[in-house]
Amino acid sequence: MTGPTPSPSPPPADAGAATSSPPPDSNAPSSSVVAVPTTPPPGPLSPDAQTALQSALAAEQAAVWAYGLVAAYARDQADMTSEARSGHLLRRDATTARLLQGGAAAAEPAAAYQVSVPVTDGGSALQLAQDIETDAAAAWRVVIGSTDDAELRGFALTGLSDAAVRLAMWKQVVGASPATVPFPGQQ
Amino acid sequence: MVATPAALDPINGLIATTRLHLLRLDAAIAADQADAARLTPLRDDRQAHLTALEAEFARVNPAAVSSSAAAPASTPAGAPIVMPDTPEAIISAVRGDAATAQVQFTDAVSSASRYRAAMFGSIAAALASHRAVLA
Repeated sequence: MTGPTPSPSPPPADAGAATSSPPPDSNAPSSSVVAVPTTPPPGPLSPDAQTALQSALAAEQAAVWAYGLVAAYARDQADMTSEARSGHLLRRDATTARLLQGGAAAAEPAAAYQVSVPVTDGGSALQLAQDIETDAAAAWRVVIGSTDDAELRGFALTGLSDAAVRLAMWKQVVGASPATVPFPGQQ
Repeated sequence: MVATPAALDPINGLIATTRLHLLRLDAAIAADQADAARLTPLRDDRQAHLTALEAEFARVNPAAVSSSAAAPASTPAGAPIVMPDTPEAIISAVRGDAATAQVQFTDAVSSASRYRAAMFGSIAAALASHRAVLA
């Protein structure tokens, strides 16, 4: 499975926060009734964010396909495999929608994908499952580092966290120690 | 443009939380030998987080780090960390720490620089996986 683009390098040391807090609003009403904050609709995607999100979409499309292969061999983990595939399917569709909302193109999935290991038995299927999640985590981490948009960062963080949790679960299934990695998605 | 004073760098809060949770994990491992094999890799992850966060603070605030390096090293003072009595309660406390830290790092993602956002997001994801393996 193809890897995503590398993580961003450290910026110059004087790089500050991407956004700053708004100043206090002296005209704010003193009413005890407070407006419920609403999430703004997703805006246009910057070129960096668009590229990263398209890579994440490719990783999710590959994950959906590859879990079909895992399911064929890791039959003792049918429930976990099915849950993981469903999660990637939902995320794939949400990522497609986010790209289209941002005015970007969303590629169709490929008919088949090159996998990281030849899958011939349960063991290799479980290795592929770990590779799928490692790839997905890397792709979502790149999205976080490619945008200043807080909403998109949050969306990407959910993808990264979901992949990190699934990776740990698969590692537990195969008895790997440690089951966790300190920096999911970092290549 | 006026640079943010090192003391106000928002990474300080994340470093403090991580350092505290590392101490609590040490205490948990000492108090719950039966779960030491499960907790030690999580402690190693948190140590890696602390090292990375401190390196990032030093990168952005070199003057603050060089002045503190001149001061004599000191051992953190204060009351010893006491963990709950039972293994179940200890695991629950460690899981609670991971949840607390996950929220803190998730909140920090939205307004950080891109480089820091990726780092904080990765740590938040690691904390989510810690909660999962302790569930």
